[in-house]
Amino acid sequence: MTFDTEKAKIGREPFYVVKIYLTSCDNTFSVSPCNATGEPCFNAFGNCRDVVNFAETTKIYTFSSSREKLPMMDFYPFIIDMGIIAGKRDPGKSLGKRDSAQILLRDMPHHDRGIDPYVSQRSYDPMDQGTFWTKLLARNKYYTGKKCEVYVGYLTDDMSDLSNFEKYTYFIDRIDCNNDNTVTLTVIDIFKLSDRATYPAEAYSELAAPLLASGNTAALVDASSYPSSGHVRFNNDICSYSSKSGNDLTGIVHGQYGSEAADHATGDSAQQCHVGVNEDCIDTIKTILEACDIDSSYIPYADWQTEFSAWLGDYTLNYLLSKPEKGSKLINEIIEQCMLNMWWDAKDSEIKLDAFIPVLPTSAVTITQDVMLKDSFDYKDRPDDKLSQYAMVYDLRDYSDKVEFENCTSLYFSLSDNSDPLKDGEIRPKQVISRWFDETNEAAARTTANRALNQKLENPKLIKFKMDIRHEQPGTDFLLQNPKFVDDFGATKTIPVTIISAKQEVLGTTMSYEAISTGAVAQRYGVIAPNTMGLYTVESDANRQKYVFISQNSEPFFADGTEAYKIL
Amino acid sequence: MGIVANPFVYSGVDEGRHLPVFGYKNLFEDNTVTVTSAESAYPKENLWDGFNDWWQPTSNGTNYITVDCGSATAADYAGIYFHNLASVSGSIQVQSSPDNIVWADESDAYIPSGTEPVLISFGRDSFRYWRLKIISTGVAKIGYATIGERLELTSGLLPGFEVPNLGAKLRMVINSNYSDITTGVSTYAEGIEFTIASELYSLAWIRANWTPFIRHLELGKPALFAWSANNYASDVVYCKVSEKPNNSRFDRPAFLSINQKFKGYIE
Repeated sequence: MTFDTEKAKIGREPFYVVKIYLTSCDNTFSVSPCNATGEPCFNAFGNCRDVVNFAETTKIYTFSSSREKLPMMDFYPFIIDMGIIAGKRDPGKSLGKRDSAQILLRDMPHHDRGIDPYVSQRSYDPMDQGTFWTKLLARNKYYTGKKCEVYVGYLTDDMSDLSNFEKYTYFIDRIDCNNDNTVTLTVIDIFKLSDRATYPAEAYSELAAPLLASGNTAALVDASSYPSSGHVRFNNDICSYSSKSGNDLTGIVHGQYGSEAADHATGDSAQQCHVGVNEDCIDTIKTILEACDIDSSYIPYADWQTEFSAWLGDYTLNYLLSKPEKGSKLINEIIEQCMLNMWWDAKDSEIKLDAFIPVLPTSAVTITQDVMLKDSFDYKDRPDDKLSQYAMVYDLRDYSDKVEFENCTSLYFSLSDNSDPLKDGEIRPKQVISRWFDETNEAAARTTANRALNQKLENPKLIKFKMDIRHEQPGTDFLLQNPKFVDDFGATKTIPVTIISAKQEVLGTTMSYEAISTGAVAQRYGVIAPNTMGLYTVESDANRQKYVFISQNSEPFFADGTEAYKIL
Repeated sequence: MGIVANPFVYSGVDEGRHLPVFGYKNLFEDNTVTVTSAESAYPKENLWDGFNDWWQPTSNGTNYITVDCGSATAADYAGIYFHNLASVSGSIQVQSSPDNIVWADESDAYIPSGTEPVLISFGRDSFRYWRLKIISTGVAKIGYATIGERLELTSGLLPGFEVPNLGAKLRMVINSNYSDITTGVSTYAEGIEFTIASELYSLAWIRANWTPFIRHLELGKPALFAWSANNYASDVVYCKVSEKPNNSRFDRPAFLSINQKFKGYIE
């Protein structure tokens, strides 16, 4: 009995469960080690009267949809409605629109049994005071950011647990009490944490004594949080230091990374800097995410390394960050400049990272009209997303100055053949200014420019369609076949797409997708073939799909009339 | 128990009149209840609080839910809902006692076939102690239990009454592809809605019987309903009101009518 077998059944019965994980105390009130006395607390941190001995544990509150034949499990059947608001990925640009879910729950007076561990000692009747949610919120003030799991599955006769359910992991953003005896629980994906946190951290300390431009020891008020060596910024002077002695940073060298050495006064802040030298872009992102309090368990680093080895080897970053900025802003820059596709996968409970490359025909499932819901298919061209020129401007002159064209020393420029007057004839330029690439990063600039142009040679298409959930496929890259996509002869053709948004529009029933066409729709991609490969005319269709062949014809076509390849 | 005249619902000469019955008065709510045992997370209070929690004894075998009413108190029905008796080969029987020592059977043991609500009617008796006897081969779980005096409608249900247990009980969502071939079907058991409409009640009857029931419903409390307790005793619905209950009204001189919509569950 699995989710996949249950979802394929005619007459399946969708059912939803939501678990929220709140901090609780494992002690018993007034029993050692708890030294609190008087009216018992509620074993939550917000009302703890002996915080020194607070023994942190987790209390799980489980809610389900209300329905007939409710399974006899420990659920509060308070869910009235639930909507998963699918995030929208923005490959090659940003983290996109975030995943979230809104859950509407019933509120009512409650007896507190199973919630208040000391309910039998209370002098009042809990049914007469407050409601389930008003009491829960009063007792658990610190709920923001706590884990929330949404389970979507199907009821079965022998149901004893949630093993046949799909789990989506989110984090609590807020809980709003409404006017109609309901509450709205809003949960979000993990990237919200990177919207709130900054990197590097704000300056922790300041100069305890003046530091002259010629001085090599900086006396700080408190250097305890500074690493034993590194970089620190005083005003616009970026300094390196080689060691730390008490509250003194020693071996100071002024005017690093293009900045100017200067005198600094007592009280000037000492901003820690973060430096990357030939740092794999995945390591940079991981460092930023972890600095934003995102637990490393949500980062599938081995998968990221595999992707890096296959597609991202050019992206070893060289940078210095000398002022705090939002983590998501920094990551968005790296996504754009390294052509990445990043998203929170609530189902796998991890942050996915892919190179944004065309869909490989041999590795993708084909979705046809047979599995699309009637009247659900729609597509729009997005001519504004088309590109014909790409300029990567990089290698900052002064890392304490603004990230702008005038502060850069290098430029890589690439031009597509779409500027040919017989094609569009119009120039669609894009300029990106990078603080992550220095003069050694020309290969990275070139790869980004070429990948961006290849993805957007033709009008990118935004495609929408729906499927019954039983036809849901894992992964994000697909081939799409629809009568609206035809070749010159009117024959239906297949186009590669990347899913940017997938949501259960009707929970447990209907999937709604948004996808973008990847690569020039008419282009043919392949990877370098092994030495054993024969001629194009004798090789199998599978090999022709996967590998690049070279045409001996003067025109860019093979003998069978098919077009030439582009090497990935 | 006499079957009252019921001129407005008549399904055939073999069945005669149908007797609509509500079971809402619950002696467990206001008296001292003891149980043979209870898991700490599933105490006896869960039996009548109206929430979707349940009482669970610590072992299978014979278990009792006993109420001490303090003095002789009348009862003529008992019921349960949100239970697992069918899956643990369980049965339920009503017993009474004047002294908590000598017990007499008020009903036969009833063995539910599924998760349906159960309403057991028996001849009206008056005792200080009442109990439900549960025998099961696995550990029983019961979410709602009630015992007390039933409310019988002295007039029949008006034509147009939809029998809750006979109608569709599921909402369906059907997905089809471009060839109109069904690609998936989901069903949702959201309960059923039904309306009780009846007339020709005296003001005295309404005051004594219907108004207390309305007061009970106003608090969001549940009831069991058997549309034909005499002919189809197993057609039972666990029901509540989902909006403010209606007033009874004079539709003809000297007689009042009732009209109330319910949300019900039959499984």
